[in-house]
Amino acid sequence: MLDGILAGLSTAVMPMNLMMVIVGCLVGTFIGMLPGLGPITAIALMIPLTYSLEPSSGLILMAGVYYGAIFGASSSSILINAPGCSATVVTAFDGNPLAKKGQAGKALAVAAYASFTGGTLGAIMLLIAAPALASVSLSFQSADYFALMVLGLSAVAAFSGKGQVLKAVMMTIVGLMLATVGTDRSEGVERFTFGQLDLIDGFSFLLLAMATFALAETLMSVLKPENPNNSATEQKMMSELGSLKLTKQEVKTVAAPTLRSSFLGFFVGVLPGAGATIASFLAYGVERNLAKGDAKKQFGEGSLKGLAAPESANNAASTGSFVPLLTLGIPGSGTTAVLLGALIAYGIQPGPRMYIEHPDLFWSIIISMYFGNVILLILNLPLIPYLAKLLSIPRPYLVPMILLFSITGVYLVSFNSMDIMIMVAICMAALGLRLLNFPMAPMLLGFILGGMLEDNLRRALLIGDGELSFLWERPLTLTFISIAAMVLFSPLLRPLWERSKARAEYEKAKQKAAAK
Amino acid sequence: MQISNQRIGGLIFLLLSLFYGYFSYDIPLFPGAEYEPFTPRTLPQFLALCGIACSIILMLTGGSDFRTSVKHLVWRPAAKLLVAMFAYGLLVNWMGFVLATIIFLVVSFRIMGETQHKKALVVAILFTVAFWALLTHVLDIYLEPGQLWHWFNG
Repeated sequence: MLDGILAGLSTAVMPMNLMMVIVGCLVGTFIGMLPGLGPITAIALMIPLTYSLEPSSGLILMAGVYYGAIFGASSSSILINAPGCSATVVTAFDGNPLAKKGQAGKALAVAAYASFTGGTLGAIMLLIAAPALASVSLSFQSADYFALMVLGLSAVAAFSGKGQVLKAVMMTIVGLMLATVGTDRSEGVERFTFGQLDLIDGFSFLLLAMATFALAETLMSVLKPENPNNSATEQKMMSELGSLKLTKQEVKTVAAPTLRSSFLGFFVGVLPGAGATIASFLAYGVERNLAKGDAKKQFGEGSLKGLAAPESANNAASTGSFVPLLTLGIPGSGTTAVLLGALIAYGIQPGPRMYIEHPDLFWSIIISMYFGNVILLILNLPLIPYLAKLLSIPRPYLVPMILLFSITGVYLVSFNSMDIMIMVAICMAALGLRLLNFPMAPMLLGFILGGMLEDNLRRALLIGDGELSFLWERPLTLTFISIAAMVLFSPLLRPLWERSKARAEYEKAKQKAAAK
Repeated sequence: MQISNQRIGGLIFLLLSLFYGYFSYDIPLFPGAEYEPFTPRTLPQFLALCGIACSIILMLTGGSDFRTSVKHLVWRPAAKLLVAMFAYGLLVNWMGFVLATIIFLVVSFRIMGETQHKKALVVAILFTVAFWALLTHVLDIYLEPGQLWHWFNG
């Protein structure tokens, strides 16, 4: 293994490959910042450019683009509340309120430091434990994966507002329903296509994300224009950025969530199918549940913990998602699926044999990920004030430009103008649901996990001859399902518990008064 | 009686779940597949049942408050922008990326309240050309010039 690491290091420090990391990070940040163009699009756009490069250089470039795009997507989440990719949806929950309070600089700095920590810890864990972690994930069966997906979906309860759990569950169901549209993956029959050719492949994730977040968010700002004076003040505060420096107290506040979320994110990222998106949602949910008193109330209002947790988790998970890709040949996320395509285009079949046959390539990608993190921190943090200049564009110009980026982001992937029209229709539905206070993120989570959830449930049922006993017969499955049930039902049962607690206290006070 | 937004939401989801559940019976099955433990219909029918149950709970537990006031919403520009985007989708293949984008931007700037037509046109042209150059020359993406271009150039 040491020989492999040294070979990888020598490949990664080659001037050409170092340049590829720098170029990748910068290009990725730029593309990621544009709402609609997330890491999947950024990497897909890079594939034709990498054909002329050596496999290691090409893959290092794409890994840099991946990191850069996630960093850029976080910046757009914070600055304009338009997540560039699903993994940074949660970043907007607390990042944007911070920006609106005039602390955009601080929010971006926390995001950069948390991403760096998550990425660094992820890269170290990957270096140390890649083979072992690969064997752990090998022992997972369909039933465990199904339970893990259910756990991922139950996280919606953790980040939905008070009294919103039922609505969040319903939106998750809608997401799962949307995921069933298209050709069934096991039997190849069409479902809910109504004879439309455009629906045979189902809905595009990018299209749904753009329609329900970037487009709907932008149009909501048009539908509900705030007080012009407030808006001007807000915009002035956001464009001023504020200080990039963090106080000792703030560092202390974010340190523990960052470390916890890095480990959680990496573990989630290693499991095939559970990528950076689930990691960020889970990390946010965990930190929110762990927080007490005022710290808990701050979640959604501009909490530094709520910003640091998903940011470190999504970077650690991005690193972790390379484990199943490189060692098992299974893409851990949509982005690594695109990378898998790129590897195959180079004639390299990822899997256990890649570890033996191309050790220099295997380890150079892992080492260059760490370099990518350093470069993002060194190069991109000073660039933040320039990136924030986007906010000084007048509203009559900014709104149409964001709309254009969103619709072309989808159009440039498929070159199908029908997608734009479907997007407009979904955006109208999303606007209606937003006006009725339905959360959008659970729908996306349901959509992302829908296909995998169905595949694993089908396999588990077929193996178990149609019996549901797999839910309680496998300890790992039972553990995941139990945690999911606790996460989902605790907010529903909390009012009952609070009522009984208040009654007990009342009885106690009554007894005390009687005793006196 | 005033209907709360929770009940309206519940009703919409009930209709959606019923519609989804009804069409789940149209999913074709292979002969004998109905005896399989899992078919392409299994998950959709389970989801439809969950959706119906959740909708009924929401409608029963929904309060009587109607928090969203539609009176204060500025519908007109938002609706116009939606129409502009829809039109962009219809015209982009016919007009080509550059022309359709310039027109979309000029119209959208106008909808958003920009009154200086010359400034709007200059910004739209400069922005579109820069964006087109980035896509085609830097990112090497081929953009179809559009049917209109082919008409004029034979």
